[in-house]
Amino acid sequence: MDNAKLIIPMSWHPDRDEFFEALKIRPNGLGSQLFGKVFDCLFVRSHDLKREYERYYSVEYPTLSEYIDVRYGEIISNDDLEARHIFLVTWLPQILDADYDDNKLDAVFECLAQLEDTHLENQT
Amino acid sequence: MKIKLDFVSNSSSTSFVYISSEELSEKVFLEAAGVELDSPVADLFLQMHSEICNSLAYGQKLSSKEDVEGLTGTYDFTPEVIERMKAAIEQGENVITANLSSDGALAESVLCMEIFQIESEKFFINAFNNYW
Repeated sequence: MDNAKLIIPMSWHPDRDEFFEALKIRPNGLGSQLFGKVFDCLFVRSHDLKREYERYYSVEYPTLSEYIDVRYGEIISNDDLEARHIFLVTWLPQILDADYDDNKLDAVFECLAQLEDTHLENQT
Repeated sequence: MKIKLDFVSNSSSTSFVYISSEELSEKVFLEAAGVELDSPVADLFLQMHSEICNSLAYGQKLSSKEDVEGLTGTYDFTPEVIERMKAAIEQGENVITANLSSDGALAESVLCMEIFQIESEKFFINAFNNYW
């Protein structure tokens, strides 16, 4: 069983360029080199649990909630289960590591929340 | 990310070279790193700038081609970087080698663990080398 470091429900699949734009980082610099790895960790190398369940495990498990509970030992709220994507992150880069007081996890989450809000506004 | 196989100690350090005709300012560093001053992660890069400047203050200034050639066996800069150092000295630019440690704060530790090169009109930093 992979241990979850983070679970990130999103109504859309984040886009790398929009991620950089929200962080006010331009491509092809040290900033994009470091935060590109953050993006990859959160949204490329992570497990998209909803996609994984729908593609491979919906026959074996009656509900997504049960699948996530049994397979990963995580309980997800009903609201989060409604999200289009549920990313489970099992490894974090040093920049997001809670062992460092000045890690950038909160800054990245705030940026993702802004992108999520913008995306939801555009849908309505 | 740099990966060390076989025995791994708890800390590591990376050597880098800084080539420029001037001191590294925050503005120039952020510009070259591609990070806006009002970025929500700008403080990390400002801290990196500070760590690099602190490291350079204790670095080794190379004044001649012989100094550069003397790095053989001590540092492991690529032949291209060695040639660039020699050319910079010929043109009267500052060439300084210094170290970053993984034992430091987040900014220094991230730089230490990363293979990177920053190039702008104002300066050049190469940190491809790593020793443990």
